[in-house]
Amino acid sequence: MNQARNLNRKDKQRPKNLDLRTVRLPVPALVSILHRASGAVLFLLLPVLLLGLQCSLNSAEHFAHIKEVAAQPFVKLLLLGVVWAFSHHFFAGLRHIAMDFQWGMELTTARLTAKLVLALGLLVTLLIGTALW
Amino acid sequence: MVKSHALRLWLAQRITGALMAIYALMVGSVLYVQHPTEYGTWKALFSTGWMRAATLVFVLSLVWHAWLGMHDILIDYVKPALAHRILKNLVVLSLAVYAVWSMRILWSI
Amino acid sequence: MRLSIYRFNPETDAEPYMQDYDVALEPGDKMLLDVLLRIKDLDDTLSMRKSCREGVCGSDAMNINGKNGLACITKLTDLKEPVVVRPLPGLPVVRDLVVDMTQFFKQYHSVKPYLVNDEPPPATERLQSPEDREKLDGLYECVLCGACTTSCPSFWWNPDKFVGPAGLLQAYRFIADSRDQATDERLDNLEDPYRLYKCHNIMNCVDVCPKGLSPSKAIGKIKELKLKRLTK
Repeated sequence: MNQARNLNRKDKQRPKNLDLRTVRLPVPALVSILHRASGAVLFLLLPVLLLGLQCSLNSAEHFAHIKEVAAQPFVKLLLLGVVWAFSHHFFAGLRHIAMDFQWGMELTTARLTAKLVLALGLLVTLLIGTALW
Repeated sequence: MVKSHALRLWLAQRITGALMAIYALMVGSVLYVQHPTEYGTWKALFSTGWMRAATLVFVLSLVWHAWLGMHDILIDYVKPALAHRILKNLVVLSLAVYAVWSMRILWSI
Repeated sequence: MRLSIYRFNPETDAEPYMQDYDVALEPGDKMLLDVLLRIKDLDDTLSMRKSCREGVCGSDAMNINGKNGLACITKLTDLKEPVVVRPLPGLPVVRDLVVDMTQFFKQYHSVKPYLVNDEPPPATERLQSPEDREKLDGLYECVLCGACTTSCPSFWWNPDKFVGPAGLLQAYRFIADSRDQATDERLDNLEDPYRLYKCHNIMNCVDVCPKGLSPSKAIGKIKELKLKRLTK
Protein backbone atom coordinates (compact mmCIF):
# COMPACT_ATOMS: atom_id res chain seq x y z
CA MET A 1 0.00 0.00 0.00
CA ASN A 2 2.81 2.37 0.94
CA GLN A 3 4.63 1.43 -2.25
CA ALA A 4 1.58 2.37 -4.32
CA ARG A 5 1.56 5.78 -2.65
CA ASN A 6 5.20 6.32 -3.58
CA LEU A 7 4.61 5.36 -7.20
CA ASN A 8 1.88 7.96 -7.41
CA ARG A 9 3.95 10.61 -5.71
CA LYS A 10 4.39 13.58 -8.03
CA ASP A 11 7.80 15.04 -8.78
CA LYS A 12 6.85 18.26 -7.04
CA GLN A 13 7.02 16.45 -3.75
CA ARG A 14 10.32 14.76 -4.47
CA PRO A 15 13.40 16.70 -3.39
CA LYS A 16 16.34 17.25 -5.70
CA ASN A 17 19.97 17.19 -4.75
CA LEU A 18 20.89 20.66 -5.96
CA ASP A 19 22.90 22.06 -3.06
CA LEU A 20 25.63 23.60 -5.22
CA ARG A 21 27.94 23.81 -2.21
CA THR A 22 28.21 20.02 -2.33
CA VAL A 23 29.04 19.77 -6.02
CA ARG A 24 32.60 20.15 -7.28
CA LEU A 25 33.38 22.98 -9.70
CA PRO A 26 36.09 21.94 -12.18
CA VAL A 27 38.22 24.72 -13.75
CA PRO A 28 36.43 24.74 -17.15
CA ALA A 29 33.10 25.08 -15.31
CA LEU A 30 34.49 27.97 -13.26
CA VAL A 31 35.59 29.76 -16.42
CA SER A 32 32.15 29.14 -17.90
CA ILE A 33 30.17 30.56 -14.99
CA LEU A 34 32.54 33.53 -14.75
CA HIS A 35 32.00 34.08 -18.49
CA ARG A 36 28.29 34.37 -17.81
CA ALA A 37 28.73 36.49 -14.66
CA SER A 38 31.20 38.87 -16.34
CA GLY A 39 28.76 39.34 -19.22
CA ALA A 40 25.92 40.16 -16.84
CA VAL A 41 28.14 42.58 -14.89
CA LEU A 42 29.11 44.38 -18.10
CA PHE A 43 25.45 44.66 -19.08
CA LEU A 44 24.48 46.04 -15.68
CA LEU A 45 27.30 48.60 -15.61
CA LEU A 46 26.75 49.70 -19.22
CA PRO A 47 24.74 52.82 -18.31
CA VAL A 48 27.48 53.89 -15.90
CA LEU A 49 30.11 53.50 -18.61
CA LEU A 50 27.99 55.34 -21.18
CA LEU A 51 27.44 58.17 -18.71
CA GLY A 52 31.17 58.38 -18.11
CA LEU A 53 31.86 58.44 -21.83
CA GLN A 54 29.25 61.09 -22.51
CA CYS A 55 30.55 63.25 -19.69
CA SER A 56 34.20 62.87 -20.74
CA LEU A 57 33.43 64.03 -24.29
CA ASN A 58 31.21 66.92 -23.23
CA SER A 59 33.84 69.54 -22.39
CA ALA A 60 37.33 69.93 -20.96
CA GLU A 61 35.86 70.68 -17.52
CA HIS A 62 33.73 67.55 -17.64
CA PHE A 63 36.71 65.52 -18.78
CA ALA A 64 38.76 66.78 -15.84
CA HIS A 65 35.87 65.99 -13.53
CA ILE A 66 35.71 62.43 -14.83
CA LYS A 67 39.43 62.03 -14.26
CA GLU A 68 38.96 63.20 -10.67
CA VAL A 69 36.09 60.79 -10.07
CA ALA A 70 38.05 57.92 -11.63
CA ALA A 71 40.93 58.56 -9.26
CA GLN A 72 38.85 57.85 -6.16
CA PRO A 73 39.65 54.44 -4.61
CA PHE A 74 36.09 53.09 -4.74
CA VAL A 75 35.65 54.12 -8.36
CA LYS A 76 39.09 52.73 -9.24
CA LEU A 77 38.03 49.39 -7.78
CA LEU A 78 34.79 49.43 -9.72
CA LEU A 79 36.55 50.29 -12.96
CA LEU A 80 39.11 47.55 -12.31
CA GLY A 81 36.20 45.19 -11.91
CA VAL A 82 34.82 46.30 -15.26
CA VAL A 83 38.23 45.84 -16.86
CA TRP A 84 38.46 42.32 -15.42
CA ALA A 85 34.90 41.52 -16.52
CA PHE A 86 35.72 42.60 -20.07
CA SER A 87 39.09 40.79 -20.08
CA HIS A 88 37.74 37.53 -18.79
CA HIS A 89 34.72 37.65 -21.06
CA PHE A 90 37.00 38.43 -24.00
CA PHE A 91 39.43 35.54 -23.41
CA ALA A 92 36.70 33.08 -22.45
CA GLY A 93 34.90 34.13 -25.63
CA LEU A 94 37.98 33.40 -27.74
CA ARG A 95 38.22 30.00 -26.05
CA HIS A 96 34.54 29.40 -26.89
CA ILE A 97 35.13 30.17 -30.57
CA ALA A 98 38.20 27.93 -30.65
CA MET A 99 36.12 25.09 -29.23
CA ASP A 100 33.47 25.73 -31.88
CA PHE A 101 36.16 24.78 -34.36
CA GLN A 102 36.71 21.56 -32.39
CA TRP A 103 40.00 22.88 -31.03
CA GLY A 104 40.85 22.15 -27.40
CA MET A 105 38.03 19.68 -26.76
CA GLU A 106 40.22 17.06 -25.05
CA LEU A 107 39.81 17.20 -21.28
CA THR A 108 43.47 17.94 -20.54
CA THR A 109 43.63 20.70 -23.17
CA ALA A 110 40.32 22.12 -21.99
CA ARG A 111 41.61 22.32 -18.42
CA LEU A 112 44.79 23.99 -19.61
CA THR A 113 43.03 26.59 -21.77
CA ALA A 114 40.62 27.25 -18.90
CA LYS A 115 43.52 28.05 -16.56
CA LEU A 116 45.08 30.14 -19.32
CA VAL A 117 41.90 32.19 -19.71
CA LEU A 118 41.75 32.83 -15.95
CA ALA A 119 45.41 33.86 -15.90
CA LEU A 120 45.17 36.10 -18.97
CA GLY A 121 42.08 37.80 -17.60
CA LEU A 122 43.88 38.68 -14.40
CA LEU A 123 47.13 39.59 -16.17
CA VAL A 124 45.50 42.00 -18.63
CA THR A 125 43.52 43.55 -15.77
CA LEU A 126 46.76 44.10 -13.90
CA LEU A 127 48.46 45.59 -16.97
CA ILE A 128 45.61 47.95 -17.79
CA GLY A 129 45.23 48.81 -14.13
CA THR A 130 48.86 49.84 -13.75
CA ALA A 131 48.76 51.69 -17.11
CA LEU A 132 45.74 53.70 -16.01
CA TRP A 133 46.92 54.39 -12.50
CA MET B 1 14.31 21.19 -44.06
CA VAL B 2 13.39 23.11 -40.93
CA LYS B 3 14.41 26.77 -40.90
CA SER B 4 17.55 27.05 -38.83
CA HIS B 5 16.55 29.91 -36.52
CA ALA B 6 18.35 28.64 -33.44
CA LEU B 7 21.50 28.10 -35.47
CA ARG B 8 21.39 31.68 -36.76
CA LEU B 9 21.13 32.99 -33.19
CA TRP B 10 24.06 30.82 -32.17
CA LEU B 11 26.06 32.20 -35.08
CA ALA B 12 24.98 35.77 -34.34
CA GLN B 13 26.34 35.54 -30.80
CA ARG B 14 29.72 34.46 -32.12
CA ILE B 15 29.89 36.91 -35.01
CA THR B 16 28.93 39.90 -32.85
CA GLY B 17 31.43 38.71 -30.26
CA ALA B 18 34.17 38.50 -32.85
CA LEU B 19 33.35 41.96 -34.23
CA MET B 20 33.55 43.45 -30.75
CA ALA B 21 36.81 41.63 -30.06
CA ILE B 22 38.33 43.15 -33.20
CA TYR B 23 37.10 46.61 -32.19
CA ALA B 24 38.50 46.19 -28.67
CA LEU B 25 41.91 45.20 -30.02
CA MET B 26 41.91 48.07 -32.52
CA VAL B 27 40.81 50.75 -30.09
CA GLY B 28 43.00 49.25 -27.37
CA SER B 29 46.07 49.66 -29.56
CA VAL B 30 45.08 53.19 -30.58
CA LEU B 31 44.60 54.15 -26.94
CA TYR B 32 47.94 52.58 -26.04
CA VAL B 33 49.75 54.48 -28.79
CA GLN B 34 47.99 57.84 -28.49
CA HIS B 35 47.66 57.79 -24.70
CA PRO B 36 44.93 60.45 -24.59
CA THR B 37 45.27 61.90 -21.11
CA GLU B 38 43.85 65.29 -21.99
CA TYR B 39 40.54 66.37 -23.40
CA GLY B 40 41.74 67.52 -26.84
CA THR B 41 43.24 64.18 -27.91
CA TRP B 42 40.36 62.22 -26.34
CA LYS B 43 37.76 64.26 -28.21
CA ALA B 44 39.72 64.13 -31.48
CA LEU B 45 39.84 60.33 -31.26
CA PHE B 46 36.06 60.07 -31.27
CA SER B 47 35.58 62.74 -33.89
CA THR B 48 37.03 60.84 -36.84
CA GLY B 49 34.70 59.20 -39.34
CA TRP B 50 36.18 55.73 -39.02
CA MET B 51 36.08 55.77 -35.23
CA ARG B 52 32.42 56.75 -35.26
CA ALA B 53 31.58 54.08 -37.82
CA ALA B 54 33.58 51.40 -36.00
CA THR B 55 32.03 52.35 -32.67
CA LEU B 56 28.57 52.21 -34.21
CA VAL B 57 29.27 48.67 -35.40
CA PHE B 58 30.55 47.89 -31.90
CA VAL B 59 27.43 49.30 -30.24
CA LEU B 60 25.01 47.45 -32.54
CA SER B 61 26.97 44.21 -32.02
CA LEU B 62 26.98 44.82 -28.29
CA VAL B 63 23.23 45.33 -28.13
CA TRP B 64 22.53 42.11 -30.04
CA HIS B 65 25.21 40.12 -28.19
CA ALA B 66 24.07 41.34 -24.78
CA TRP B 67 20.46 40.55 -25.65
CA LEU B 68 21.31 36.97 -26.60
CA GLY B 69 23.38 36.53 -23.44
CA MET B 70 20.87 38.06 -21.04
CA HIS B 71 18.04 36.11 -22.67
CA ASP B 72 19.98 32.91 -22.00
CA ILE B 73 20.39 33.90 -18.36
CA LEU B 74 16.71 34.72 -17.95
CA ILE B 75 15.66 31.39 -19.50
CA ASP B 76 17.84 29.48 -17.06
CA TYR B 77 17.21 31.33 -13.81
CA VAL B 78 13.89 33.18 -14.04
CA LYS B 79 11.12 30.61 -14.37
CA PRO B 80 8.00 32.41 -13.07
CA ALA B 81 6.24 33.65 -16.22
CA LEU B 82 5.42 37.19 -15.09
CA ALA B 83 8.87 37.97 -13.67
CA HIS B 84 10.44 36.52 -16.80
CA ARG B 85 8.35 38.71 -19.10
CA ILE B 86 8.96 41.84 -17.07
CA LEU B 87 12.72 41.34 -16.89
CA LYS B 88 12.90 40.41 -20.56
CA ASN B 89 11.12 43.61 -21.55
CA LEU B 90 13.35 45.62 -19.21
CA VAL B 91 16.46 44.19 -20.86
CA VAL B 92 15.16 44.89 -24.38
CA LEU B 93 14.15 48.42 -23.42
CA SER B 94 17.48 49.18 -21.74
CA LEU B 95 19.45 47.92 -24.73
CA ALA B 96 17.35 50.00 -27.12
CA VAL B 97 17.95 53.06 -24.95
CA TYR B 98 21.70 52.35 -24.79
CA ALA B 99 21.86 52.04 -28.59
CA VAL B 100 20.16 55.38 -29.17
CA TRP B 101 22.15 57.00 -26.36
CA SER B 102 25.45 55.78 -27.82
CA MET B 103 24.59 57.16 -31.24
CA ARG B 104 23.72 60.52 -29.70
CA ILE B 105 27.05 60.55 -27.88
CA LEU B 106 28.97 59.71 -31.04
CA TRP B 107 27.24 62.22 -33.28
CA SER B 108 27.00 65.20 -30.99
CA ILE B 109 30.72 65.70 -30.52
CA MET C 1 35.99 4.28 6.93
CA ARG C 2 33.85 7.29 7.67
CA LEU C 3 31.05 8.21 5.32
CA SER C 4 28.25 10.77 5.23
CA ILE C 5 25.33 9.57 3.16
CA TYR C 6 22.25 11.43 1.89
CA ARG C 7 19.11 9.91 3.32
CA PHE C 8 15.51 10.54 2.40
CA ASN C 9 12.54 8.27 3.01
CA PRO C 10 9.40 9.88 1.55
CA GLU C 11 7.24 7.88 3.95
CA THR C 12 8.89 9.15 7.10
CA ASP C 13 11.04 12.19 6.28
CA ALA C 14 9.88 15.71 5.57
CA GLU C 15 13.36 16.72 4.39
CA PRO C 16 16.49 14.89 3.29
CA TYR C 17 19.37 14.72 5.77
CA MET C 18 22.94 13.44 5.92
CA GLN C 19 23.65 10.36 8.01
CA ASP C 20 27.13 9.51 9.26
CA TYR C 21 28.49 6.00 9.20
CA ASP C 22 31.71 4.44 10.44
CA VAL C 23 32.36 1.13 8.71
CA ALA C 24 35.00 -1.47 9.47
CA LEU C 25 36.52 -2.49 6.15
CA GLU C 26 37.36 -6.06 5.20
CA PRO C 27 40.59 -6.83 3.29
CA GLY C 28 38.72 -7.47 0.03
CA ASP C 29 36.97 -4.08 -0.05
CA LYS C 30 38.34 -2.09 -2.93
CA MET C 31 35.49 0.01 -4.35
CA LEU C 32 32.93 2.35 -2.83
CA LEU C 33 30.13 -0.07 -3.70
CA ASP C 34 31.74 -2.67 -1.43
CA VAL C 35 31.47 -0.23 1.48
CA LEU C 36 27.91 0.81 0.63
CA LEU C 37 26.83 -2.85 0.59
CA ARG C 38 28.61 -3.33 3.91
CA ILE C 39 26.50 -0.45 5.24
CA LYS C 40 23.41 -2.28 4.08
CA ASP C 41 24.44 -5.09 6.43
CA LEU C 42 24.40 -2.59 9.28
CA ASP C 43 21.45 -0.50 8.10
CA ASP C 44 19.16 -2.32 5.75
CA THR C 45 17.05 0.79 5.08
CA LEU C 46 19.72 2.40 2.84
CA SER C 47 18.47 2.31 -0.77
CA MET C 48 20.57 2.41 -3.91
CA ARG C 49 20.65 0.92 -7.37
CA LYS C 50 23.43 -1.52 -8.23
CA SER C 51 23.88 -4.49 -10.50
CA CYS C 52 26.96 -5.51 -12.46
CA ARG C 53 29.52 -4.19 -9.91
CA GLU C 54 32.02 -3.74 -12.75
CA GLY C 55 31.15 -0.44 -14.39
CA VAL C 56 29.12 -1.62 -17.38
CA CYS C 57 25.47 -1.39 -16.37
CA GLY C 58 25.43 2.21 -15.14
CA SER C 59 23.06 1.51 -12.23
CA ASP C 60 25.10 2.87 -9.32
CA ALA C 61 25.87 6.36 -10.61
CA MET C 62 25.94 8.80 -7.72
CA ASN C 63 27.62 11.98 -6.49
CA ILE C 64 30.78 11.02 -4.58
CA ASN C 65 32.71 13.75 -2.74
CA GLY C 66 31.08 16.24 -5.06
CA LYS C 67 31.79 14.46 -8.34
CA ASN C 68 29.50 12.10 -10.21
CA GLY C 69 30.77 8.56 -10.75
CA LEU C 70 29.99 4.85 -10.61
CA ALA C 71 30.33 3.52 -7.05
CA CYS C 72 31.47 0.10 -8.24
CA ILE C 73 34.57 1.44 -9.98
CA THR C 74 35.41 4.26 -7.57
CA LYS C 75 38.49 3.14 -5.64
CA LEU C 76 38.44 3.60 -1.88
CA THR C 77 42.09 4.67 -1.96
CA ASP C 78 41.08 7.64 -4.14
CA LEU C 79 38.52 8.90 -1.63
CA LYS C 80 39.06 11.50 1.09
CA GLU C 81 37.24 10.86 4.36
CA PRO C 82 34.56 11.43 5.38
CA VAL C 83 33.27 10.23 2.04
CA VAL C 84 30.21 12.29 1.13
CA VAL C 85 27.75 10.26 -0.92
CA ARG C 86 24.78 12.01 -2.47
CA PRO C 87 22.30 11.09 -5.24
CA LEU C 88 22.86 12.38 -8.77
CA PRO C 89 22.15 16.14 -8.82
CA GLY C 90 19.11 17.67 -10.44
CA LEU C 91 16.82 14.65 -10.69
CA PRO C 92 13.94 14.01 -8.28
CA VAL C 93 15.00 11.78 -5.41
CA VAL C 94 12.79 8.72 -5.00
CA ARG C 95 14.56 7.51 -1.88
CA ASP C 96 18.12 7.85 -0.50
CA LEU C 97 20.48 7.40 -3.45
CA VAL C 98 17.78 6.38 -5.92
CA VAL C 99 16.74 9.11 -8.36
CA ASP C 100 13.89 9.25 -10.84
CA MET C 101 15.57 8.81 -14.23
CA THR C 102 12.36 9.49 -16.22
CA GLN C 103 13.45 12.88 -17.58
CA PHE C 104 16.85 11.48 -18.51
CA PHE C 105 15.33 8.62 -20.49
CA LYS C 106 12.67 10.83 -22.02
CA GLN C 107 15.40 13.00 -23.56
CA TYR C 108 17.28 9.88 -24.66
CA HIS C 109 14.23 8.45 -26.42
CA SER C 110 13.49 11.81 -28.03
CA VAL C 111 16.61 11.58 -30.23
CA LYS C 112 15.38 8.27 -31.75
CA PRO C 113 18.35 6.19 -30.56
CA TYR C 114 17.97 3.38 -33.10
CA LEU C 115 19.13 2.76 -36.62
CA VAL C 116 16.88 4.20 -39.29
CA ASN C 117 17.36 2.52 -42.63
CA ASP C 118 14.37 1.82 -44.86
CA GLU C 119 16.22 -0.25 -47.40
CA PRO C 120 15.36 -3.94 -47.19
CA PRO C 121 17.91 -5.69 -44.98
CA PRO C 122 20.55 -7.62 -46.99
CA ALA C 123 21.00 -11.35 -46.72
CA THR C 124 23.85 -11.02 -44.27
CA GLU C 125 24.49 -7.78 -42.33
CA ARG C 126 24.43 -4.15 -43.44
CA LEU C 127 28.06 -3.75 -44.36
CA GLN C 128 30.26 -1.14 -42.75
CA SER C 129 33.92 -0.57 -43.47
CA PRO C 130 36.41 -0.64 -40.57
CA GLU C 131 36.97 3.10 -41.12
CA ASP C 132 33.24 3.80 -40.79
CA ARG C 133 33.03 1.51 -37.76
CA GLU C 134 35.84 3.49 -36.12
CA LYS C 135 33.67 6.59 -36.25
CA LEU C 136 31.42 4.98 -33.63
CA ASP C 137 34.28 4.60 -31.14
CA GLY C 138 33.78 6.90 -28.20
CA LEU C 139 30.03 6.91 -28.85
CA TYR C 140 28.67 3.39 -28.61
CA GLU C 141 30.26 2.66 -25.22
CA CYS C 142 27.81 4.84 -23.26
CA VAL C 143 26.08 2.88 -20.49
CA LEU C 144 23.42 5.55 -19.87
CA CYS C 145 24.43 5.94 -16.24
CA GLY C 146 23.37 9.59 -16.20
CA ALA C 147 26.54 10.92 -14.58
CA CYS C 148 27.18 13.37 -17.41
CA THR C 149 23.68 14.74 -17.80
CA THR C 150 23.22 15.25 -14.08
CA SER C 151 26.53 17.07 -13.85
CA CYS C 152 25.44 19.59 -16.46
CA PRO C 153 24.12 22.92 -15.10
CA SER C 154 22.22 23.54 -18.35
CA PHE C 155 20.36 20.30 -17.73
CA TRP C 156 19.68 21.25 -14.08
CA TRP C 157 17.95 24.47 -15.20
CA ASN C 158 16.07 22.97 -18.18
CA PRO C 159 15.72 19.18 -17.81
CA ASP C 160 12.50 19.16 -19.80
CA LYS C 161 13.88 21.13 -22.74
CA PHE C 162 17.62 20.48 -23.05
CA VAL C 163 18.43 16.97 -24.31
CA GLY C 164 21.61 16.80 -22.24
CA PRO C 165 25.03 15.27 -22.89
CA ALA C 166 24.02 11.59 -22.92
CA GLY C 167 21.08 12.10 -25.27
CA LEU C 168 23.12 14.28 -27.61
CA LEU C 169 26.02 11.83 -27.60
CA GLN C 170 23.63 9.10 -28.69
CA ALA C 171 22.08 11.42 -31.27
CA TYR C 172 25.53 11.84 -32.76
CA ARG C 173 26.22 8.10 -32.48
CA PHE C 174 23.47 7.55 -35.03
CA ILE C 175 24.26 10.62 -37.11
CA ALA C 176 27.81 9.28 -37.46
CA ASP C 177 26.68 5.76 -38.30
CA SER C 178 27.21 5.12 -42.02
CA ARG C 179 24.31 2.67 -42.03
CA ASP C 180 21.82 5.27 -40.78
CA GLN C 181 19.88 7.24 -43.37
CA ALA C 182 18.08 9.77 -41.20
CA THR C 183 20.89 12.28 -40.70
CA ASP C 184 18.89 15.27 -41.97
CA GLU C 185 15.89 14.42 -39.81
CA ARG C 186 18.12 13.88 -36.78
CA LEU C 187 19.70 17.28 -37.29
CA ASP C 188 16.27 18.87 -37.84
CA ASN C 189 15.14 17.23 -34.63
CA LEU C 190 17.70 19.29 -32.72
CA GLU C 191 16.59 22.57 -34.21
CA ASP C 192 14.86 24.45 -31.39
CA PRO C 193 16.88 26.87 -29.18
CA TYR C 194 16.94 24.45 -26.25
CA ARG C 195 17.45 20.88 -27.36
CA LEU C 196 21.02 21.29 -28.59
CA TYR C 197 22.00 24.91 -28.16
CA LYS C 198 21.71 24.99 -24.40
CA CYS C 199 25.13 23.34 -24.43
CA HIS C 200 27.62 26.06 -23.58
CA ASN C 201 30.73 23.88 -23.46
CA ILE C 202 30.85 23.78 -19.69
CA MET C 203 32.40 20.31 -20.09
CA ASN C 204 31.40 18.85 -16.73
CA CYS C 205 30.15 15.88 -18.74
CA VAL C 206 33.62 14.97 -20.00
CA ASP C 207 35.03 15.50 -16.52
CA VAL C 208 32.74 12.89 -14.95
CA CYS C 209 32.11 10.25 -17.63
CA PRO C 210 33.12 6.92 -16.05
CA LYS C 211 33.70 5.42 -19.50
CA GLY C 212 36.01 8.24 -20.59
CA LEU C 213 33.68 9.49 -23.30
CA SER C 214 33.33 13.08 -24.47
CA PRO C 215 29.78 14.28 -25.01
CA SER C 216 31.24 17.77 -25.61
CA LYS C 217 33.16 16.51 -28.60
CA ALA C 218 30.10 14.77 -30.05
CA ILE C 219 27.98 17.87 -29.47
CA GLY C 220 30.65 19.98 -31.14
CA LYS C 221 30.45 17.74 -34.19
CA ILE C 222 26.65 18.07 -34.30
CA LYS C 223 26.95 21.87 -34.17
CA GLU C 224 29.54 21.71 -36.92
CA LEU C 225 27.25 19.59 -39.12
CA LYS C 226 24.36 21.97 -38.61
CA LEU C 227 26.60 24.88 -39.57
CA LYS C 228 27.74 23.06 -42.71
CA ARG C 229 24.10 22.44 -43.68
CA LEU C 230 23.38 26.14 -43.42
CA THR C 231 26.07 27.04 -45.92
CA LYS C 232 25.20 24.28 -48.39
